[in-house]
Amino acid sequence: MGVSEQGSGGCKTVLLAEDDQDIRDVVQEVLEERGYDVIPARTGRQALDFLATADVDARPDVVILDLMMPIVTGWQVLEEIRQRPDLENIPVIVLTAVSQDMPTGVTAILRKPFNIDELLALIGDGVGVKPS
Amino acid sequence: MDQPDDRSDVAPVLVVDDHDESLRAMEDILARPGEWLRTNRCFARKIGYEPGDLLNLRMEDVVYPVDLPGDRAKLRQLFDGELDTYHREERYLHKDGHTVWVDLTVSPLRDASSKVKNLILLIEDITSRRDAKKRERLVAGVSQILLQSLDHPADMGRVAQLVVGSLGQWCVIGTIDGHGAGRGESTAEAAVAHADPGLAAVADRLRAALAGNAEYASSLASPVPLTSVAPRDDLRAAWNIDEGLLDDLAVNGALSLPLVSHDRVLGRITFLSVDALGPGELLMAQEVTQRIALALDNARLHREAEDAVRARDEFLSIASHELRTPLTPLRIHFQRMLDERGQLVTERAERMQPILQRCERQVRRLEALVENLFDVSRLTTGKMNLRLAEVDLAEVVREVAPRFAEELAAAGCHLSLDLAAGAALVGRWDRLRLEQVIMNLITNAIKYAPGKPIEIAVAPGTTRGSSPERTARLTVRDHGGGIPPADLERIFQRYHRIAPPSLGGLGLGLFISKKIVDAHRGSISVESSCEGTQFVLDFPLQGAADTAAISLPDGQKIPIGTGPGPGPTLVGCNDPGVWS
Repeated sequence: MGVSEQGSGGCKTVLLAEDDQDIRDVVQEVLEERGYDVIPARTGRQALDFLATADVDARPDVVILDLMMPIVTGWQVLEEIRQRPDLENIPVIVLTAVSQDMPTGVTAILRKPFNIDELLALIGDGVGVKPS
Repeated sequence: MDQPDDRSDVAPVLVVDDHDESLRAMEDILARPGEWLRTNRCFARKIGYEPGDLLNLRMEDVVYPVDLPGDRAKLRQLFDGELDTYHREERYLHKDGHTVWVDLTVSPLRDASSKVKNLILLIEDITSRRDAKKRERLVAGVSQILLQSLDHPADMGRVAQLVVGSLGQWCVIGTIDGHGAGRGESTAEAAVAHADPGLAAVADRLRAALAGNAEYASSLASPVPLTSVAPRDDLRAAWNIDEGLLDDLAVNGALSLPLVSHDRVLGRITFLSVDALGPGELLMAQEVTQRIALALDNARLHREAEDAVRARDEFLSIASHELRTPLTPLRIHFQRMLDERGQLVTERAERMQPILQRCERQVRRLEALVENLFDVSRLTTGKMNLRLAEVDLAEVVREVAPRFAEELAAAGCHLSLDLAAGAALVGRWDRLRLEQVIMNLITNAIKYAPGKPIEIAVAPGTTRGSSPERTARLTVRDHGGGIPPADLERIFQRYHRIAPPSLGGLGLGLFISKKIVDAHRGSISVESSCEGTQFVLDFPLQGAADTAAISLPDGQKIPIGTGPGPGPTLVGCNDPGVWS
């Protein structure tokens, strides 16, 4: 957490889909301190709604996605993102508290409790890293 | 059985064939079969008669029809002078219809011209002996089937098939499923077997008639044993099956016993026989029934234990997930506080640093405990996934050791490292898992040998066995009081703890460590004496089998956040003398 300016890749907007308010809040705070715009989503549904309605230039540069969320899970969000040609290149960082059945084709998987510096580094790299 | 001679199984019987002088010829004997001349009470009672009654009968009235021709053939040889005497085992028919096995010795009394005058039959009742052997064989066979698997519905068919080879012609076993034992609400399909494969179609009809049959289902829950004198009527009443099927079953003997264990009715077994069932067969049936009931009960206990283990593992998995969630912001907040402290150089901030560090260390301890809980639930359900990469074992030790600076200092332990300078021991291993193992071993050494030096060495080694492989060998030695031999054997088992509860820990560290080492195709061994304990770990330089790894698309970057990891402000050691 030693760097205060955001990554040089021009990554501005982060969609943060996480159902746990405490995690969501602290990650949002830290990211906003670093100058990111954070769009918090409490459920997978909210994340999908945002992705469906956002203008092209308002689309997030990185998605941080909790896998286990109620109603619409992170898995379902991931599936939706993959089916959208305009979103297929968006870096997705998965947060999870379980380690079975890891999704493939995402930028990174962080296991809870994760190190915030790792998350920051990944977001910083985010723009340059494309899912295969 | 009140007569003295009843105590003996040996019953000499005198038989006369020649109340008429003209009947000396064999043909006459066969034309007018012999009559009993005299018999003793013991023999008569064995086959259900009073001696007086028996004298009114002929041989063919009491010899089991199947055995008569053999008997007659022997008699002919005796009369023809081809045999002096003969000896055979055969069946007699009890008055109530069941068979009695006898060992028969027939000796003739001949007249001066060597013609047979009388026959003396020495008859020994061998039913119980034969039954015992048969019972032994049957019970052993049944036990063998039941022991092979605890999957009872599949096995009951085999058990029934084995039973009908020895006991009756039909065997029907029904079990009450699940935990509703005693209520008879749901039943598995009846296992039906017949001794004659030609009757498979009848067996199918019976099976179909019993499937979903309410009367049959409710009969399974009854704890009452039934010996039937009118099997046809009883079956009609108990099973509600049609007359045609009753005709085809053609039974004259029936015995129906509840499968009971620990006061629970688990089902019912019914033996049906063409002949009436004798006391030996009753005994056999009881023993088989007991075995089956016991096996069913074991299967139930096994199932319940498995369910309990599954429930526990599910609980552990959920619990560790739930525990990780609050740990995540907690950890981030601590990182932020420590970071903030760096921005504010004040006296108060300086004082805060050690407090924050201690708090963060406790968070890490919590994380490690949660990690262990989670690992153990995962290890019981599947294999460990390794993320393999080129790893230098000495370098891992070098990095992990400083994390323990504070704990070592607090425990008064001096840790020295001997890290095979010059020999790069690099293999394809899972770095984070190796860290976990090393941390477990250091934690144990500090816990069990406070105030004593700890030595860690990394050196080249080889595996044991016929084709030795080169390994990186990690040795962790403490100088504590050692591990009692009884504990040493079980030290790698789950939840096995040597420490008193005051020392903390879940008893999972070494269990998980061994699983990790196993997943790397490595080995871990322990030696202990009153002078200390030494763990020796070998990791083959060829690394783990590739199948153990999670396959990742090429070039994909997958950093994984873990529980215990190095915190940037915690690395380092206050006492330079600790490291060597």
